[in-house]
Amino acid sequence: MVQYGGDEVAALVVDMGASSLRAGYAGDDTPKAIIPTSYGYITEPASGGDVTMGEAGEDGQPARPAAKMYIGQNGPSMWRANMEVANPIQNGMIHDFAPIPPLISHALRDVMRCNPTEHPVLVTEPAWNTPANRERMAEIMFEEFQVPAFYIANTGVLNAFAAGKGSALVVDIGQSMASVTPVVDGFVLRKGLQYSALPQLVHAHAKHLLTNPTQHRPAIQLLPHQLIASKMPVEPAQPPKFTLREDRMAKTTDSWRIWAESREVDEWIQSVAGVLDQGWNEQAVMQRPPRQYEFPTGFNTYFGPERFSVGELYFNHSMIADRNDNLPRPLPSLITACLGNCDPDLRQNLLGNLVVTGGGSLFGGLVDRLGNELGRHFQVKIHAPGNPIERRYGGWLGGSILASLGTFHQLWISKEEWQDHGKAIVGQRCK
Amino acid sequence: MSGVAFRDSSIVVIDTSRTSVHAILGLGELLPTPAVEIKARVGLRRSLHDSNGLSNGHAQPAASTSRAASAIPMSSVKVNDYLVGAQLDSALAAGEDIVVSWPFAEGDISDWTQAEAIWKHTLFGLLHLRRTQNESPVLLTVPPTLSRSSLAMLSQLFFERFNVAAFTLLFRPVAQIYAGNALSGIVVDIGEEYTDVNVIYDGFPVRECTESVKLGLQDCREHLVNILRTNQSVMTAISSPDAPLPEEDIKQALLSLVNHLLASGLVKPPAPASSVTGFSASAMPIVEEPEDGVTDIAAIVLAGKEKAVIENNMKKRASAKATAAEQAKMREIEAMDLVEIKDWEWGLREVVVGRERHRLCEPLFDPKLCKKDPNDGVWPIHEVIGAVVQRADVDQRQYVWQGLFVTGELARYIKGMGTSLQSRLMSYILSQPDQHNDVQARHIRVLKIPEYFAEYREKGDGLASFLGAGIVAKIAFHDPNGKNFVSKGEYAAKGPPAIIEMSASLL
Repeated sequence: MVQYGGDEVAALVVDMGASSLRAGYAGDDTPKAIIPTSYGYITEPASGGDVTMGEAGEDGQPARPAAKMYIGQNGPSMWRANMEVANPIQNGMIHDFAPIPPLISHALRDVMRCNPTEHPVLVTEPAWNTPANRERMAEIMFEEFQVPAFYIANTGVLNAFAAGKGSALVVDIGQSMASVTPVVDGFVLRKGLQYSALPQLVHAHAKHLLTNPTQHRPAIQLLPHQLIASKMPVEPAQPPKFTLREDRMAKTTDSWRIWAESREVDEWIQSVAGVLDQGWNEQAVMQRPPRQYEFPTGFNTYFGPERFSVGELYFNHSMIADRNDNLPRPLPSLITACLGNCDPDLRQNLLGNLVVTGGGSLFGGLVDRLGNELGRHFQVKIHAPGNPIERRYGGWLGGSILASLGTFHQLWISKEEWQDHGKAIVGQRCK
Repeated sequence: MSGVAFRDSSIVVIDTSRTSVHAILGLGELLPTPAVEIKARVGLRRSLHDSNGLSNGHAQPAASTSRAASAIPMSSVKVNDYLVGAQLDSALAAGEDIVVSWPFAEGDISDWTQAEAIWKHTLFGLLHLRRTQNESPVLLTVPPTLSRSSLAMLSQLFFERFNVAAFTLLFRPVAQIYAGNALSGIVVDIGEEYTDVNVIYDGFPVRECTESVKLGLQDCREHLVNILRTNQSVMTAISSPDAPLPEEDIKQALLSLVNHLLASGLVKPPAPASSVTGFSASAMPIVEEPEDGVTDIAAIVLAGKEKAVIENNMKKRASAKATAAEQAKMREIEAMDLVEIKDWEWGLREVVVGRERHRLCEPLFDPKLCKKDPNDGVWPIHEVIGAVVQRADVDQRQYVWQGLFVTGELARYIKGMGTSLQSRLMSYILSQPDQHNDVQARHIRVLKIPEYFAEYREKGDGLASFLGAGIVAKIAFHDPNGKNFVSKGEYAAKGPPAIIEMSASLL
């Protein structure tokens, strides 16, 4: 773009995560299109009476014959009769490529209103992506979108770039995965890479807490706004008084219900959940003020220790299980394992440039706690952007910086090269 | 080249909505209302249309998104071939065979030649600028959905074809929220065909929170026409049983009656949701009547309304003297909420319309009334607003709910829509405002254009984007070293993309 010295490439950057797909112009500081990765679809009634097929894609090829897809901001979030919701990303990786072209097309053509055949496109991938997956992505971009040039870059590296660092230890907490990636001079040290499905555990625990009764309150119904016709004010911790939209209840699918409930859980986490800065301590927890929160049903109550026990899971599992072999590993153990796999002389450099990023890292108090935990053992300097947009879309931002650099031009895989060399070029060019 | 400040009298503001263009040359001390208003449509004579090979399916790719009725003429049609404004109106009235297109109707610019024809007519035809000696800076409002290359094209068009002295762009929802005296909020623009909902946070549109629903004033009008059809007295007044009018004429007559009702401000917004159950029984007015005791005399004098105020007072005095019998009759009419329509466009027939006229806005809250279905992407507007705000960050929402602003065509005629919407949105905020909760929204605040914009008083909030554009134009063009507009020199140096970094609220 112009502000980078007359570089007229006008590249696009596409960053796909478990929660949202971000797309925008290279050189900008925020993505122009942010659409949910989850999408809704309605299978034609002809395909059998029972539409509630198991989570699509579980067994390789989902049976989706004549499904109408609802993509974008009013895709899953708007209630539709018999609409199912699915997400092509599993554990950070694309496991179902069928909805990928429509998703990218919606972001580029419908939201940004630009023509992908005119712009080079940089796509991001997680550090643990498979070669087959990235080649498939290249194929989609070249064959279906006819892009003039393509590059696929690692989110770990891009997050380091977004923080202005060539070498860094990137702690990325997304919606479904938490990862620790050592980046040295712009390259990932693969042997140090660690990741786990920690955010999913935190989410599941929060949902478990909310939907089970305690001595102070009944179990909470996680009904979304879309299913509620009206609510009445009630006293804290009293059963809610609300009327359901009965016309909608019968036509609500299970997958949509699960999607909507997890959204309510996320909202609760974002609004009130937190983590103590100095480890779990019953007394410290009691001293923190409880916070009131109201659900769409009108049910409201004060959340005290509960709201901290959720965040504690990022750091240890002793709250929910004594033996935690099968649970996703918490952050400190991921970081220690990562450092243990790296050369000792690199450790100091990495710890001095610890980048915390990803939407999940906005969890209240998480960065402070991480600093305290690590500070007991190491000399550590944490870089965590204060701006939520920078934190949430760090991968995209790094891509935006990278693709707008003049020196990056030689790395693009051009269409001609793709046609000449085929898939192999992706592995050769994109390290 | 920057270093030139522009005089107020030379500034041009053009506000381009989906269906109309408002413009003015020169901003006074008070921000004026638009000097010219035309429909954003162009016409092409059928002969020209066909001779350009349009009938053989040779349409541009954008054709699929354009209105069904209008084919998109090829670029081989010249700007001057198009009929715009009064020319088009008279040609249509004369019954000429003309293909009419609305280049902005879909929230994008579907045909650049047509767009150019409209703006050219506005600048040189209506505002009497001269291309060769154009010293006016131009501020143009655009929908926030335009692509970046379109924005660059716009600046190219205005500099190279219209020879403007400086140029800047402003997103319409941003202009609208400025007019409502806020920086964050929800702008609900109820237009003819579409309702656009946009969330603005701190002066910037929130990208994820933009939605358009195909519900608008047109649907409302048709709904009321259908209701009026069931009113025996109206129907007999329009088409007497002895000499019935043809069906098409009845429809036209009813439509013009509805328009007349709207234009004379006789339609009230729907009642708040709490009393919505027995709607027709409790169509309570919630519009605040303009206060009788006029206090701000200065503003009225400034606005040139002193005559109207005096006449109003005279009328009141006269009515006070009316006989008791007359007053009783008046009261009865008031109680029934009847209005007598005498001199409307369609002949001089007298028609009495009752309360049902207030049902005009119903389709906005229940699209099924105009046969539109949520599964086709048409939701009631309050649901759309609620869903759109839910997409914003948790932390942003309470600020966003602080500014619910209803504008657009409908707001020009019906005041108080904001309040009716507010009551229907209560389920999205806390049920009790006194909770110890600093994250979730407690209140929804409804915005209006502030009283101190004297020229805009009693005009409704429909012209908000023009007012906001005027405010921004004044500030942007007054600062000679400002970075909020592109001067001719900067355009020459940097080319069309300069607009993207040099415009208020574009990046």
